[in-house]
Amino acid sequence: MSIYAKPVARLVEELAKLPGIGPKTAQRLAFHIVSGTRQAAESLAEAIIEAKEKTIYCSVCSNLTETDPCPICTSPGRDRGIICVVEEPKDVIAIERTGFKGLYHVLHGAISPIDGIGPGDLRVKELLQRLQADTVHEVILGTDPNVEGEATAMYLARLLKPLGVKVTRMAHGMPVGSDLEYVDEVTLAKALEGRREL
Amino acid sequence: MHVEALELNQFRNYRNLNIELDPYLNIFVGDNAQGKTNLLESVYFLATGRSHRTNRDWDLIYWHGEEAQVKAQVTTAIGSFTMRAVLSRDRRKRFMIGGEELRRQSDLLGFLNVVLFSPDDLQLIKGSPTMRRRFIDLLLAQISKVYRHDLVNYNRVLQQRNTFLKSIAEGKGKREDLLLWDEQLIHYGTQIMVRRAKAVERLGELAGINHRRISGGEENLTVHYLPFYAAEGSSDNEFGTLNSHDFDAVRIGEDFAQGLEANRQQEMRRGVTLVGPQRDDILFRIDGKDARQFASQGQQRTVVLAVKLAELEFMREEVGEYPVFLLDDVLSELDFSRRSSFLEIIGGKVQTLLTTTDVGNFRQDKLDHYREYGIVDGRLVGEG
Repeated sequence: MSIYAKPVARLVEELAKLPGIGPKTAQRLAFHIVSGTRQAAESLAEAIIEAKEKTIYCSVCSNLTETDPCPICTSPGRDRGIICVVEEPKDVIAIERTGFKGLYHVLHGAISPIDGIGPGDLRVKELLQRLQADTVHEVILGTDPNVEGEATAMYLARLLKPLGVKVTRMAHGMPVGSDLEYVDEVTLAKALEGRREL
Repeated sequence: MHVEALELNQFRNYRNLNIELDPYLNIFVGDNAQGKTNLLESVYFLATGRSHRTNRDWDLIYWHGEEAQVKAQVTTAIGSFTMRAVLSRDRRKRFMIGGEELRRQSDLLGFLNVVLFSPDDLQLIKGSPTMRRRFIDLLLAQISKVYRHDLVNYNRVLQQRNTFLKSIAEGKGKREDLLLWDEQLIHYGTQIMVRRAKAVERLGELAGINHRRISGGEENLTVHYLPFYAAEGSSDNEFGTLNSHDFDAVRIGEDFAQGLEANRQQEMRRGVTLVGPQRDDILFRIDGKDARQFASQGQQRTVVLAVKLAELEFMREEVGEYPVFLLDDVLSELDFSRRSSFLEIIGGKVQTLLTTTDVGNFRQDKLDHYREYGIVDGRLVGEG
């Protein structure tokens, strides 16, 4: 649009490409950056370049890292017998917060024919290589609880079970500490489906 | 539940409209193409997130206008709140409940329930099965969040599976990977079918009662759920007599899995999923005979009327209160006795917004109480 000065228009356009950023937000961010100090703008630009240049994929777990193998894969304090498989690096961060002490494997996506993503486009070969070593006795499938995540979990389960490793799937559950009557009915219905005997 | 007040800005041919509504009967009077239907459409849009007349949302924005808004003050058994829909040419549509924006459009259903009866609905009996599925889906999606969830997921699995079947047909996808989608297809599909079967059974009972009332007890209407594995054959098969006990989840799940197995080769050749609730149908019978084949215009009209009334009652049973009833120009063509028994059934219970070109029709019905609005060229010209 010609209402911006050209360099601002370019910045808005670039920002609007980011996930979760619409045209209005992009415009707000752009004006904020332009009206700030030169120093602030440089610091942001450098941070972006540095993050891009200095992060690589861990050759073991495929997570984003600065060193290869990543700190989690090399940590002596982790349980090397359990691998939690997730779709994206951000999922590792979520599970890390739980205090999980096993290892991870990042697939970088989920099976989705609509998006042209098949099993071959995920980091599955890398996972199979890791299972060659006898140390792993359990694989937790931590893919998203949506249609694509379930299909991916099923694919992995079919692939891994014949190898003799224990394969588990994260449960759908009730939010902890909430009263039953306030739980969203979809969550409640799923929790009922996944009920277990005591 | 009912709408207390409605405000339109740059919506269709309304530059600005501000009206208060009667909790029961509201009659909008005007010549054709003055904006009566647009008004009902605005309420439907606010309730469901889409228009019943167009898939292009920008058609709803006032000619040369930038942004259309529909705002309503809604009162339900739980409380009173404002609902607002904002539609602009360059952004996605947004919905606000009590000032808070909804994150997903699918969360909109259930706040303001509506039943719409427009001239298009007269096709319900003889029109395509798609129409009847859309009818039952909108009804159930409004009253059940779980149904919405299952439906959204089912359609997603179906889309993924069909795309994958196409890649198999083109020789790209691996055949054994098709199984990855089957379990979820069966799971969500079964949930949908169990719910549909129960709903159609109850809806049929209610429709039968209303039909007898409107038609003077001369004919007997029955409504039947035809699951995909029954819908293929003729209408005179055994499935017409099944009731919901024959549709438990285990049985449907088994039939579904068998259907998938039996059609697997054909599916892979044709590149499309051939079984599932996307092929369900609903059958209407008058005195045991398939209404698709022989019902006259007048009989169809009475059946649809009975079904719409059943929908109101069904929603009240499920939600605890009546939805808002939108009647677009369908009553004037009924004869006097049918119209009055119809108005008697909804009178004093259901908030109704109806449009007509000739209010004289209703004056002779000796209605106790109603509010009348004159509509000319997107403006309110009289109220009483």
